Amino acid sequence: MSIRREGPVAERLLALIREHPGPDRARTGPLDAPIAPHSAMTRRRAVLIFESAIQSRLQDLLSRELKDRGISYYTIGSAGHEANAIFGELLAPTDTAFLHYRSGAFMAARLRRGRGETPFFDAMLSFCASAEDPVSGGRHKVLGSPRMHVPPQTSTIASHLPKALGFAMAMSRLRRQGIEPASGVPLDSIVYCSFGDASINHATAQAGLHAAGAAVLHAQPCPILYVCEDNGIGISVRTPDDYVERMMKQRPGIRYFTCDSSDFPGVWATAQRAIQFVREQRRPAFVHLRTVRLMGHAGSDVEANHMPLEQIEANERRDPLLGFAELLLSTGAIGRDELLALYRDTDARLRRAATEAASRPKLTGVGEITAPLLRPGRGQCAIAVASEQRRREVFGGPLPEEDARPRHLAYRIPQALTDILAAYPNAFVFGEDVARKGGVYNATKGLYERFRGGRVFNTILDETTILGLAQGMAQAGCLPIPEIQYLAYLHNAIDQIRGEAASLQFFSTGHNSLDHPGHQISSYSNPMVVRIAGLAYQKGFGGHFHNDNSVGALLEIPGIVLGVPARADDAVLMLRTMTGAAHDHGMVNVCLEPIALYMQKDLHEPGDGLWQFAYPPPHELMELGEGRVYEPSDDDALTIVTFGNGLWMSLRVQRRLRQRGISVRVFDLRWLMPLPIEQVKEHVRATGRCLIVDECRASNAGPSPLLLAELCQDPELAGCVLRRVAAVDSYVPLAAAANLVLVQEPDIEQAALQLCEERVR
Amino acid sequence: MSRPTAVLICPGRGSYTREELGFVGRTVRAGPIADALAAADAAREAAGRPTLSAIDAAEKFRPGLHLDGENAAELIYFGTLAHVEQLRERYDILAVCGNSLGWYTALPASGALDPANGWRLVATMARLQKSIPGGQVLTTAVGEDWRPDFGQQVEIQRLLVEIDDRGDDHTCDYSIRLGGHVVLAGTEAAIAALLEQLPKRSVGAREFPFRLAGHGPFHTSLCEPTSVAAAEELAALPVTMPSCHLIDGFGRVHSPWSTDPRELLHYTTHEQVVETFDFTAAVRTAMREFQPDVLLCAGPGSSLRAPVGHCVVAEGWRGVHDKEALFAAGLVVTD
Repeated sequence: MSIRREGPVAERLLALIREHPGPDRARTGPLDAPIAPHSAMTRRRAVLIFESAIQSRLQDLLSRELKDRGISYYTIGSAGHEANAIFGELLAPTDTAFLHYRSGAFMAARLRRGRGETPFFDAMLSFCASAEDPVSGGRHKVLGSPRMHVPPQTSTIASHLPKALGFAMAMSRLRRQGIEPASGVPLDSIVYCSFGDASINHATAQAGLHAAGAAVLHAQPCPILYVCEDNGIGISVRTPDDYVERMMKQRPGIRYFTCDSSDFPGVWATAQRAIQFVREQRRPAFVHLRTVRLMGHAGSDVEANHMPLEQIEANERRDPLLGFAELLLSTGAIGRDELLALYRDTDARLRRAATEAASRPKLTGVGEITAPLLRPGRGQCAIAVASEQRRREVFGGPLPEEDARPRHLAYRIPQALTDILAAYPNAFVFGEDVARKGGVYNATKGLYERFRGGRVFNTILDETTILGLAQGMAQAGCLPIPEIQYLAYLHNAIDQIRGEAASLQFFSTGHNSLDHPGHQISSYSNPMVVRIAGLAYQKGFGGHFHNDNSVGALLEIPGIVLGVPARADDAVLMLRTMTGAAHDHGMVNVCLEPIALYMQKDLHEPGDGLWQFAYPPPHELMELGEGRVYEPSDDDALTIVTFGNGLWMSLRVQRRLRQRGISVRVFDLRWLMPLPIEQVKEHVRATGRCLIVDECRASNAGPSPLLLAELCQDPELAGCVLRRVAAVDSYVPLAAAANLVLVQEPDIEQAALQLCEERVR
Repeated sequence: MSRPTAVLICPGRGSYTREELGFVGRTVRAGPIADALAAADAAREAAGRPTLSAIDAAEKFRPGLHLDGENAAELIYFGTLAHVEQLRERYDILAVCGNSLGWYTALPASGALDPANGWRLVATMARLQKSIPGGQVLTTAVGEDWRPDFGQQVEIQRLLVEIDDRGDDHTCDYSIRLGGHVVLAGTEAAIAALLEQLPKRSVGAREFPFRLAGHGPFHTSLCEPTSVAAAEELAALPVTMPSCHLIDGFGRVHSPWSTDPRELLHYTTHEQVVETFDFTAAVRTAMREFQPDVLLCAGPGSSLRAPVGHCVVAEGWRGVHDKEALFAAGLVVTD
C-alpha cells in the first residue's frame, strides 16, 4: 500500500464515477425536486455543492503536487470535510464566518456567490504565497475575504472562538446605540464559527463556548452558529467517539444538533434547522458534524507512521465525496460523463490558475512584509472631541479642564474615558467590575452612570473572553476599551493579543478594489485600547498576582502600541492618542496603568500634592513614542531613563542628588512600544552617562535589555557609561519582603552616585 | 495538435459599423442560425419592417438605419452567433461572456438558449429599451499606454455623484465598466451635464467623452420599466443550463452542471437591466478563473479589443503591463 494517499483517494472517487451503473429509476426526478425523500436539497443544488466540494478536494491534491515541485507552501487540506460547503451555500453571504482551516469547500461555496470573486485563482495565489494573494498578500495561508464577510485567520488553536462570539454580540450592541455595524451586515445576521474536534480541547475554545452559554444565561442576544467538524483525530491523537457529543449535548444555553457528512442531505437538513434556530432565536447553536480526515493532517504527516494501514483504507472508504457522488449519480442529478467532465474541468482550471499564480510576484522586501505592522507616524493621530454641550451633559456640570485643582491618576482616567465615550459613539468600556462598581481602583468610576449599561458593562471573569469580545466588537465596527483587572491576569489570555488581535493586520493586507484596480479597500484590523492595571509597589499587599512586574509578553508582539502613563495628565493624553491610533489606524493599543500610582497625590513630601495634575485641554494629545525629560540642564552628569513607578522614584532621587550637588536629568519613556529611542540617545549623548531604572524583572521582563542593546550598538555613544537597575528575577512576595526583590529608591541613588564617579571616555 | 483554449467575448452595441456592412451575410452558414435569421426576417417582413438580411446587404451604410437600436442589436446578434460557430472549429471554448447586448448573445453562444429564442430575447429587449428616455456617455480612464489612471477614475466617480445628487431629473450612474473606459448613463439633463463637465481627454485618435448615438440609459435604475415588461414578456423564454461556463456582467460564473435557468433568466431580464454591467469584472474572471490561451473577441467589428486589452494590462496578466507588450503577446484576438 502506498504511503502517499493522494493517488488512492483521487482514484477511488474517479473509479466510483467511471464505474457507476447509472441512475436508479426509482430515485430519479426533476433537477429542482428534492434529491431524497423529505430533503430540502434539490438535485441541482446538490450538484452546486459538489462543485464547491470538488474544487476544495482538487485544491488539496494539487497543493501537494505543487509542493513537490517547490511551488506551493501549504498542504493542510480540507479533504473529508467538504460537507461544510453546505453551510457556505445555506448561510447568507453576509453572515460573518470565522473559519476552521479545513474550510476550503465552505470558502469555495461562499465565494462563488459573490460578484467578481475569483476563488480558483485566489486559492492558487494563496498556496503559492504570492504577494498578490488578495487575503494576506502572501504572508500566510489563510481563508478570508472582507467582501464576502470572512475575517482572515489561522484558527489552528481555535483561538477564534472568543472573537466570533464578540462579533455576534456586537451586532445588537451597536444597533442599540443606533449604529450600523461597519461591515454592513443585515439585522438578522448570524455568525458562523467552525473548528475541529481536536481544537475544541483548547482552553480558548472552551472559554468561547462557555462565554456563549453565559451570555444566554445573562439574557444577551448571541446569534452564533458553532460547527465542530469532528474527524475523530487531532494529528495523531484519537478523539473518543462520543467525546464531543458528551461535552456539548447538555451544555447550558447552547442548542446541540448533530449530523454526519456521509449523508449530505442530512447535513443540509441539520444545517437549515440550526441556521434557522440561531437566526430566529438569536441564541447559540452547536452543530456536531461527524466526518473523516483524509490524506493526513498535512502533506508532511505520514499517517502510516501512526495509524494502521487498514484504518487508513477504512477511512478512505468513508470519504464523504464517495457517498455524495453516488447520490448524485443514482438520483440522476448529473450523468456519469457530466460528472467526470465537471471533475476534469475543475482540475484543469485549477492547474492553469496555478501556473499563472506561480508566476506572480512574491514578497521580496522586509518593508513589504512588515507594512501592515507600521504604527502611525508623527502627527498622524487625531482625537475627536464631543460638542461642549454634550460634554457638559455627560460631565454633569463643569468640564474637567475648568476645574483648576490638580488631580491624581485614578481621578483623571475616568474623565478621559468620559470624553472618549462622548466623542466616539462606537466606543465601549467593559471588563470585570468596570460598570456599577467603577473598577477595583475606581478607574472607571462614574462611567456607568453617565453612559449606562449599553456602553459600559461588566463581563464574566475571564480575560480570554474579554479580549476575544474586544476583537469581535472591533471587527464589527466598535471601538472597544476593555479592561484587564491585573497585569498578571493578562498572561492567561495573552494569545488573544499576540496570536489574534495583533496578527490580524499581518494576515490581512486588504483587498484590491474592484472599482479601482490597484487601490486597497479596508483590511481587517482590531482597533482597541486595552487598559491594564499593573506593576508593583503596593506596600506589601497583593503578592505576585497584584504586583506583576513583567511586560515581556507584550514587548515581543510586533506592531502594537504600549504606553505606561505615570501621571494623571499623561494618562489622559495617552488614552487620547491611543484612541486615535485605534480609530484611525486600526492599532492594538495597551495602556498599562501603574496601580501604585492610581491614588498617589504627593511626590516628595506627604501633602505636597505634587503628583496631581490639571486636565489637559480636550483637543491636546501626545505624540506616539514621545518621552518627557524632567529638569535637564547643561551640567547634568547623568540621564536616568525610566517609566511608571520608576519615574516617581527617580524624581525623588533626582532631588536628593541635587541636594548633594549632583545634577541629573530624568527621562520618562512613557511609551514602551514604540520606544522613544532617539530621544533617549540624545540625552545620553548630552550627559555621557545613563542609568536605566527598570522596575520590571531583570531578565527580559521590561524595556531595559532592548534599551541597552540600542545604546550599546550606537557608535556615537561608544564612550558613554551605561548601567541599569532592575527587579530581581522573582515573583513578588507579600509584606516587606516585596521590597527585597523590587527596585528601591536607595538602589537608584546608589547606582547613580557610582555612575557619576565613572569617567566618560 | 490540440486547439488553443479561449474565453469567448460577445460584443455589445456599436460593433456593427460602416466597415462591417455585409458581415452577417458573409458569416451565417446553413443551419439553426440561418434558420433563425430567416425566421427573424420573415417576422420583420410581416411587420412591414426591413429584413436584417436586406439591411446587412445594403450598398451603403446609413446610420439612421444601421445604428437604429433594434436593427443594430439584431445584426450584431446574428453576426456574432454565426462567427462563434466558426470560431468553435478552431478554438476550445472554456467559457463565454459578453458586453451588454453581448450577454444576450452569450446565452445561445453557450447553449443556454437556441438561436431563434436568442433573437426573440434580443429583439424584445431592444424594443423595450427604445422607449426609455436618456442616454449613454463614453469616457475613459486610461492613458496612452492603456494603464489605469486612478486619478481620472476618482474624478469620474466624484462628478457622477455630484450630478446625480442634483435631483431626479439628473439621475445618472455607471452603466458599463468597460476596461479602462467607462460608460455612464442617465437622464437627458444628466447626460448634458456629464458631457459638459467630464474632463476632455484623447487616447489615440479618439476624443473623450462622447455620447453613444441611439443608446438609452442601459444598465441603470432608469430601465426599471424595461425590466418589468421584459420579465412579463419573456417569462416563458426557454433558457436551459448552458453547455459551457457563462460569465455574467457581475463577473459571476454559471456552470454547465448546476446553473438554475430561472436565475439566469432573472439576471437577464432584471439584474443586468437595472444594475451596472461590469464587463471589466467579467474579463477579469475570464482571465483568472479560466486562464485561456487567448481572449477571443467574436462578432463584427473590433471595438472590444481595447477594453479587453485594458483589463489585461490592469491585471498584468501573463506579464503584460502596457499596450505595447499586449500587442506583442497576442493575448486578445478577434479571429
